[in-house]
Amino acid sequence: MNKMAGSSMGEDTIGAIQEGIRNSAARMLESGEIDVFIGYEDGTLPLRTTPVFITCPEDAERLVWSPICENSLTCYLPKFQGTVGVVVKGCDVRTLVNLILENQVSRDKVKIVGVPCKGIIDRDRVGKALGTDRIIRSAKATRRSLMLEGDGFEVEMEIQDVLAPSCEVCRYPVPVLFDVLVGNESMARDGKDPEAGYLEVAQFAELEPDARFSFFAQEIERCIQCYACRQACPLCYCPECFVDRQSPKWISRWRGLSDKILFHLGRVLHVAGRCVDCGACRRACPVGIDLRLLTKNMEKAAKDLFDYESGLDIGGVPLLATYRREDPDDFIL
Amino acid sequence: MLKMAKTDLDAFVDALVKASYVVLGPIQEGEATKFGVVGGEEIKIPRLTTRPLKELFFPQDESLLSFDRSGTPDASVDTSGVLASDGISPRVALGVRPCDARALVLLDNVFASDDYRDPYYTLRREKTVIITFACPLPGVACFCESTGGGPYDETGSDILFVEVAGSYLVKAVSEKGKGLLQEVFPPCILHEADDEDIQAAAEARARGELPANAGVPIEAAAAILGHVDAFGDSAWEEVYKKCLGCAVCTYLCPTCHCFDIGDEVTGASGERIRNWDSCMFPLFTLHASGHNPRPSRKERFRQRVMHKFNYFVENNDCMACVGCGRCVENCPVNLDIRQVLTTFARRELA
Ligand code: SF4
Ligand code: SF4
Ligand code: SF4
Ligand code: SF4
Ligand code: SF4
Repeated sequence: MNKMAGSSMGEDTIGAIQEGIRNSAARMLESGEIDVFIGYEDGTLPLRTTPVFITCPEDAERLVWSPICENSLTCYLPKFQGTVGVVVKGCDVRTLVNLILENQVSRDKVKIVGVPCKGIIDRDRVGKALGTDRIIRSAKATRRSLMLEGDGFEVEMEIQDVLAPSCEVCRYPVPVLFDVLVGNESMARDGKDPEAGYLEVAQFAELEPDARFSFFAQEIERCIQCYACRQACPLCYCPECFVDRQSPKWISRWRGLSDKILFHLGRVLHVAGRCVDCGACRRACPVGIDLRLLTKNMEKAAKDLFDYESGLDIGGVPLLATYRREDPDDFIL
Repeated sequence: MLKMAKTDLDAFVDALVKASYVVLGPIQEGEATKFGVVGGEEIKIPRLTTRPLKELFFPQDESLLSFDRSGTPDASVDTSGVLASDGISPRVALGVRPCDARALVLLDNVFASDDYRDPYYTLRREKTVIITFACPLPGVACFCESTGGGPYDETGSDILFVEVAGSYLVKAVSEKGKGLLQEVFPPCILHEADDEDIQAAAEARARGELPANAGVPIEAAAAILGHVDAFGDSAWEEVYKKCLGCAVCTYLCPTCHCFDIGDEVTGASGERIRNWDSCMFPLFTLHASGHNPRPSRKERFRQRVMHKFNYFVENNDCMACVGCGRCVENCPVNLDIRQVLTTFARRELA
């Protein structure tokens, strides 16, 4: 079932991948294999693409691919009826593996179009590199660089310098599961050593407890409880989130620090051993809270304590569904 | 018309503070900006704050009253804290953008109308002077012009600052604004503007107005949404699809005003709290029976669009959107309200 689409590895791999996605979508829709194809199309703002749901083969032309395809499209899958085709990057497919293992998506109802990923750009980083309050009027991304134009400026940036933090330390840029891989593995960036990704949390853990708490409190205090982080997360699919429960009620109407902390600790514990560091939660946050400090910490705990990395093995068992006598139990995960 | 050097902005704030005003302006909080108390440190005016001005009048959560039932069978209710007119000092909000100022006038329809006056909101409104800074460079998501406002719009402002070559031209828009300028400012900060300055401001204005997107067909969309068949139109099936159902677009919107009220009780005493709600949440209009007339994201998204561009118009003769672009810029999936409006503007309903 593993077919290779897309052309050979030319300089313009982005174009080749985009062609591959379009062809795959058109073919699957044509043959009736799928009812809808979820991919990216051009967005309405510079540096944005937007999710699109394609139902007829002719519309496959709307699909695009570039390092600004940031959304994790797998978050749409649990509520879909029928058979769906979907574009996934290395991280996205790991969320899908989890959705399948957790019986939220059935493997035979999804056609996976995998993209060997070079990493996506982080809009905040671009803004910072450019200087805030300089308004980008148009942007174009190629495989290596990003061209930005605004009022009286034209700037070129290396994609490498403005990669999303998750992508910088990504271990699995090549999808671990797919029906079609557009392009080939050599088009992806190299996977990183796990320790590289845990550097920040390890450093944070070195701080005194008071310093850790005050940093944490200061960040979480800013949360406006819009729940975009939860909604954007492919693995936060509960029909009723604990914070929305009315009886018992977990969150007070005074959205004080302790309520916000409860939400964030509750959420991060609920994605422990499941989160794949796709970065969707952090990207969605309108006030820029660095939620990765929490999620990365749980990811590290799963690795350190249970030697477990989430979303890699479609034949495996989710971490939270396993028990071994030798599991460490001096602290609860 | 008066004039002030840009470098005197901090001195301007100091003068207000000396005159016992609480001065509120844009502050940086982590990666985001919002309105908060300023003074003492240098003020930076961002293009538009991440969080809307409405928070100063309609905060995310506030206590409406407190009660205590210990001792007596009847609850003793205390509303003094919030309602005492000296509970809030006179305030000045500056660095406001025209869209946010205009949004207050729309919110007045809800909280300060002839039919109903919300004491909490109106008190804060009365006590606050709004100093708006015209937008020299509208952003890519701005479409204030399409909604009837604009980068130099004065609606809702008491004083308007227009930036020209290192200075601000200062215009008193309302009596309240005029009063403040007369009361507080020594002539060493504020000077009379000359014709040249006024000419330069007019030119800046002509340049600045260009990019504030006047091209969103809002009137046409509103006309379609007012059609009897709009509610059941099949277009809703498509436009909502990528929506995640978060509250970014409603919480950051300067005109959204839905709230919920409930009690937080410990033992025999407690507080009655009002906090923001959002039609994008599953709890919004969830009945005690478990029934929800807006069961999925489709109905919720429709509520947001219909409320802003139809129900609000029917009730108040104006739409509940000032084109600030916050929802456009911050939506995690780039679900752009301008595109939704364009979609409806092109619909033909029999
Ligand atoms: S918690 Fe955040 S990083 Fe982890 S899977 Fe969910 S959205 Fe992705
Ligand atoms: S997205 Fe950000 S502001 Fe919204 S709930 Fe999550 S952490 Fe809080
Ligand atoms: S911000 Fe976007 S995703 Fe969130 S509720 Fe609004 S339209 Fe939907
Ligand atoms: S709907 Fe969007 S553009 Fe209109 S006022 Fe609200 S946030 Fe601004
Ligand atoms: S119903 Fe929705 S769109 Fe209307 S004010 Fe309330 S939150 Fe905003």
